[in-house]
Amino acid sequence: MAQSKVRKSGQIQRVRFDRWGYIFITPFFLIFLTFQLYPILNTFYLSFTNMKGASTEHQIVGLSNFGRASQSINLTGVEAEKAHSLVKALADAGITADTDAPAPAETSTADDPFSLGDATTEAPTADAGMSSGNPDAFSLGTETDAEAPTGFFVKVTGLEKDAFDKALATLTVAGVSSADLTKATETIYAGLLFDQKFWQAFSNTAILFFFNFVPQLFFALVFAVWFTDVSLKIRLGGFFKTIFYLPNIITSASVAVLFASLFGYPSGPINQAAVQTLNLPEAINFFRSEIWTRGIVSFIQFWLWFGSTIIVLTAGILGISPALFESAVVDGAKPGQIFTRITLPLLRPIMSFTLVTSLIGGLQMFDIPYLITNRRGDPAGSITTTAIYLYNQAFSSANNYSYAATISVGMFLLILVLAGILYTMMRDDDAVPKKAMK
Amino acid sequence: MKRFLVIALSLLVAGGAMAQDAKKLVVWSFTDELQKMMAYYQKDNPDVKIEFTLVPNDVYQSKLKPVLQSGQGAPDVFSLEAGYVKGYVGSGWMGDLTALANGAGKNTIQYTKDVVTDANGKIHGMSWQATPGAFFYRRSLAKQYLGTDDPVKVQAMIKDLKSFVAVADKLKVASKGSAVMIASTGDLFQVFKSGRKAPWVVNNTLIVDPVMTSLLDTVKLFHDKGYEGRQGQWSEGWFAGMKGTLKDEKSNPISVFGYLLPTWGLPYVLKQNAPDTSGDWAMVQGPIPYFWGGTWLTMYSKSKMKPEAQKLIEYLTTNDKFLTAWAKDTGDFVSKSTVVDAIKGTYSEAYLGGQNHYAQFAEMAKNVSGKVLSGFDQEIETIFQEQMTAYQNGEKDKATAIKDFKEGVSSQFPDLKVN
Repeated sequence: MAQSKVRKSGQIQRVRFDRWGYIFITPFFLIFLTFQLYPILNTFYLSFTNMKGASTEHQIVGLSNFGRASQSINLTGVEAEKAHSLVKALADAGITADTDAPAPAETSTADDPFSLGDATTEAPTADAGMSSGNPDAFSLGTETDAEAPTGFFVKVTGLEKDAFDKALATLTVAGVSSADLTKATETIYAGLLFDQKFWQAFSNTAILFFFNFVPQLFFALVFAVWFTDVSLKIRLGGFFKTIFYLPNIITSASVAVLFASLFGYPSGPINQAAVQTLNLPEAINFFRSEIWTRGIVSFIQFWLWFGSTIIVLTAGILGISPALFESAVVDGAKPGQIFTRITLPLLRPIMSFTLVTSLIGGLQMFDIPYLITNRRGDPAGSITTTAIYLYNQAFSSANNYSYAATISVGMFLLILVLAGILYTMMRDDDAVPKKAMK
Repeated sequence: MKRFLVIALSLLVAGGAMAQDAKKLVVWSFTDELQKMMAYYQKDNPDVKIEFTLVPNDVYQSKLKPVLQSGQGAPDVFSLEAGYVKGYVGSGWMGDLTALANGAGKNTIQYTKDVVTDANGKIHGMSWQATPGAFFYRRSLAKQYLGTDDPVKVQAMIKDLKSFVAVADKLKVASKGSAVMIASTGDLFQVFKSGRKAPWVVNNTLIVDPVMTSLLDTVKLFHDKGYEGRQGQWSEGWFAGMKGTLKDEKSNPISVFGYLLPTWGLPYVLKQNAPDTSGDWAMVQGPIPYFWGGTWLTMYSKSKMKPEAQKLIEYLTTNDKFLTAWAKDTGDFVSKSTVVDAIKGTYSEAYLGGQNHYAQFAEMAKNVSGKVLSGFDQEIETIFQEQMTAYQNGEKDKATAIKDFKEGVSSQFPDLKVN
């Protein structure tokens, strides 16, 4: 194939080395197509479906995972008999309603082995530990919280437009006044855009990223400048760079366990040291405090990644022509001036690369916050990142695959927008007007 | 290019053909116990080919579910843990083992079968073990602070929750705060969990059993009064309490009186982590009968080797010779009552100062109900425990904790009705 041939006409045929190029890159593209592009497209597809649970059957539901409005009717203070007649009327119209009114005697749920009513008669576990005179083995007998119900409720949620109109009509016929109905109806917005837990997770992620990245960039920049500054003559520079890089090669599972144990309550090493040297009255429960937990996670991310950022920035600084630094020194520039006038501006392309890649990585933060507490990002959901939220939606007993895919798509779009903004901000300003002038 | 494709395709075809040729019984589990059991089975059935895969617990379900769903590369026999087994019972993935359960398994302790019985009364799994729970306490501390280490007398002192609290108080006063009843409030969770009348989910509706609100009161009391060691379950400090090496933040030693642990807690938790305290332990029922954990075996409903799979499960859960050997070798409490009755007289556990724990477990197993499990337990309980800790530490009041719990469940399981 890779032979050049001389044709009769004397014209030389082009040497076809390029084919080999294609063959060499084929494995990459095959792997990319099967293991990256296909899953990405499939995720987009799933976000438009309602796939969940054990079965793979699903329907296309359009954009409703991202945002949908539904109506709900919640009548309260209804008498028991009336509640049941309303529920029945709605059921006849094909609408399932809930009520907490006690069921009439003839409807029995005794065939259900897990029903509440059935279990009361056969609960040996609760009775066996009972002592005479103690009505309930599990009660400490300190308080009784009995609430007297003031009527019952009839509730229908998640009604689409048609069903909502039908429900309204049915209830009006059944004798509910229009004033009561207006008071009881409510529009509920659901889906990713209205999901507070998603936005909470996103803001958690942003906070963790910010407090990891700002110090990371600062320290990496300082060290990179020191290591490359010829006049400082830092000894063992390579040694320090290796030390700073080392945390990056420890598996995150070990790091998470290490820090969980270091900051353990009440008798972890940090607590012991803090209490005994600072004379604190008692140990600090680090992983019950939002600020401490977020701080620890941000610090770990900083500690893991700043060595790698040093290396990237060092490479960037070494790429700047030494002649510029030398002439600046000859012209009498101070180190501060050299840094702000030469190093920083010429480091811009590398900085924008670091920013964008860190942003993409940082907003997908998962392993450390997942492993360090209870795998849900507690306390109080303070380190639930979007990736943890997604993971728990998809890979728990619920298997909300379509919603997890929706979260993924949401993350994708947010990262795309943020990276776009950063990229525009970091663009070389000189290049813009030139293009515009053409 | 074409040649490359041809080679790649033929490799794929060859690979597929090879996989079909070998008739191996594929077994998946998250516990290495099962791996050890395979050795017993192979010894008695040397001609059966078994391919055992140990999948780490963390990723077990996310690996298992897709293969069960698609049938591609699915195991013939797999194990399921108490935290989620119920969720698989109605899924159609578990083969019908009713005949085995009522035949060779007729002497198996009933609650282990109740757990895997579906709405139509069909039984879909079997377990080799039963896991009733007990209270293990340190004899030396009992003698020092309670005046006796006799299990009968100690049980009388902690026979219900109120007296359990009273003893906790007595320990605290007598030791001037250096001895605590339990290492972690988390230890109380399984006890209360078993005491509920209803599982977490009934008719697709979340139920917060009143027993769970009592649990909130109890952990708050233990925390506020200092009856517990403030450790997290399974944390370093929790294990240190077993060894008797627990220290608080001021380096003052804290002695932990006891641990609420089930059958497997003795061989796999206490003996393994605190071998030096051997002989200083005793076991009683404690305030309330309960059970904790358990592993069930089942076969895949679309397996092509169902008879072989069933034979393996039958052996592991009902074979007298195997169960006897397993109980002797590991100390595990087996689920077949006839085997238990035959061997329970022979036990004298040196770790427990010569107590016959097997005979006691046999009594405790009678009080266990398997009907409080649901397929949602693993997630719901993590969500509940977070709120329990928050309430116990005074981060929020009880009503807020319960409200936040319900919100958490509703976000995790959008299809559940949460009132």
